[in-house]
Amino acid sequence: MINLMIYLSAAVSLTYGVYLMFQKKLRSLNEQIAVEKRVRRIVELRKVELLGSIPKNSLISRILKDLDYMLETIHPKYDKQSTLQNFLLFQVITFLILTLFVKLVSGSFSFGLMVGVLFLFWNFARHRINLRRIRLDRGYKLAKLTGVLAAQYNGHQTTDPREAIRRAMEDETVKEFHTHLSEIYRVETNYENAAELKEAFDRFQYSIKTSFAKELASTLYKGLTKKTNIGSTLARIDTKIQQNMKDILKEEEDKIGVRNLSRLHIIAFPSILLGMFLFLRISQYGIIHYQFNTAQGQVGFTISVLSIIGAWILSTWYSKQPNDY
Amino acid sequence: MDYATAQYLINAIAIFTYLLAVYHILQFLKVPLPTRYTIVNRIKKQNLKIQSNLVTQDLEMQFAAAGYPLQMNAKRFQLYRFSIGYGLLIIAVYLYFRESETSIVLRIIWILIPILIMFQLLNPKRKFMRNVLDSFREHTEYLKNQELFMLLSMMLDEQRASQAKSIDVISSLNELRQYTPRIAGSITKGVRKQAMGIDTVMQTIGEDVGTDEAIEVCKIIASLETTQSDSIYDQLSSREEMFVATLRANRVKRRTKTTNRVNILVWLPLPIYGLNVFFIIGRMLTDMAGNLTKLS
Repeated sequence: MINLMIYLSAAVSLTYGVYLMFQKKLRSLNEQIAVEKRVRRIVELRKVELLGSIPKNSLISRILKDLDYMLETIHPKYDKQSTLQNFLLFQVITFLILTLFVKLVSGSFSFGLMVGVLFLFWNFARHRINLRRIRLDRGYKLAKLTGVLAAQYNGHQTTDPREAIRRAMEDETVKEFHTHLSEIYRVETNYENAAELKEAFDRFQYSIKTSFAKELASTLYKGLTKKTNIGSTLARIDTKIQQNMKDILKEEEDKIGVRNLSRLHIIAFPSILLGMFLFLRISQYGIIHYQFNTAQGQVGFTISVLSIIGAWILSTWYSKQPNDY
Repeated sequence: MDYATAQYLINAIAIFTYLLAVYHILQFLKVPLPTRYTIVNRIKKQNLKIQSNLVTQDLEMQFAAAGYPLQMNAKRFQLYRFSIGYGLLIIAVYLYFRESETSIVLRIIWILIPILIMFQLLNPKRKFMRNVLDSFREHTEYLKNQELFMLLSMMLDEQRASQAKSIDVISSLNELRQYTPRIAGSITKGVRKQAMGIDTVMQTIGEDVGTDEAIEVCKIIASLETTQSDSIYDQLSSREEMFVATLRANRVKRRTKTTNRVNILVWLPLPIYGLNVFFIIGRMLTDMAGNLTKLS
């Protein structure tokens, strides 16, 4: 067992050291690949434009896109080229290591596989919950952004929303949206085809995922590409979003019971076990033996823990509602 | 009637159901053909018959109205439904004859589950699938309405910017089509009829989008060419307020529904770990009873 741990830690540290050694080369290689991809994508877009062929979106590419956008939203140090690769590599390697390790320790391959799959699922659920929390938060803060944008746009006489976006970037009250706005601004100044701008707006939309965000994104996109007036549309979105927020705050009452109930389970289940451990001594073995050393007890324990975690996840997921219709 | 006879009877019923299913499939596949047709022609004809029976126009319309959820159209949905159902059924029948020591009730339940999935749960005429498709349809309609309101608002913006009393609706529809992907198809359909006048065009668009709000908003857009901008703005805002009010009522309804369901699911761990504790205590008591009998 101790030998195994030593081997494991040595393998992990060796891999990390090798990664650190080749980090710079890897990064430059990544950039080269990214340039090649960009060139290829432009060629494909030309094909679509000139020959009228339909671009293919396979399932895997859609999943990867979704993961990429998700990481951009939740990862603190997001890098366009390497974050997704590192994330996938980390997941696969930890899955393999866990499976093999548990297989070596417990001797059963299926149990190791189950632990590995559970680990992957847990990681995925964790990221999704985090994403949902961030989206809810940003959905409520979007009201401020629309206010700032509408005020800045209608305050000036130009029909180009670029100036309004630049001023909103400098605004301190909406600094959550700074990265996305600056991305849009940067792409807008030097894009070659409109699909790049569309992608920047898609990323902005994904991090909020409400209908208001969608409306705002397509309005701004129209303003940036056609340079026509969008002032009253922006003002209309702003009034709608403020009104909706007021309504939600009125409705939001007494939904806290569900969360308290899910917390009760987390306290109640261990305390029942503890009470039985302390006061129930009718056989020569204690409660611990029956809970963890018999097959029935193990299955019961697993199912109870999973159901308690599920209830907790459900209650956190639904206790707050998004700023949407 | 003893146990063995009953088992034979139930086996016979199972085999009979299976044969009946095979017979129905064969009937379904049977196509009358003249004798000189080749086998390729027969396969083609049979495929056409299957498609016309399974992928009906109504089902395709339902999926189109639901906005093709999960990239499903009628053909794909039926393919998945029957392949999953029949695959499970074959496995269940195989298990039925292999595991002859297991209780007969369990084995019959194994056979019943895929049949229920195929003909009850995934049947688009039954309640469950109808509710699922309806909820998707409501969401799609809401998105379409939203895009239509946005379109109207953008047009009003252009009118205000150009300082003109009226604008050319059809050319601006053509330009704004790329910003509203969900109703772009309907707009193209309408604009094709532009020789018949603006009213026909907008009526076609409204009917193709298909919601009540769409028809009303399309009427407002049709009057955009002749009337002043300010009165239309009032019309737009009053129309949209009504739309938002219905949306809000829907949201409140949906929220109470989900809260009730989540409430039940959050109570569920309590009986589960209660049962766990109950079984453990039972196990302890049986052990204690065994010890007592040994002592005496």
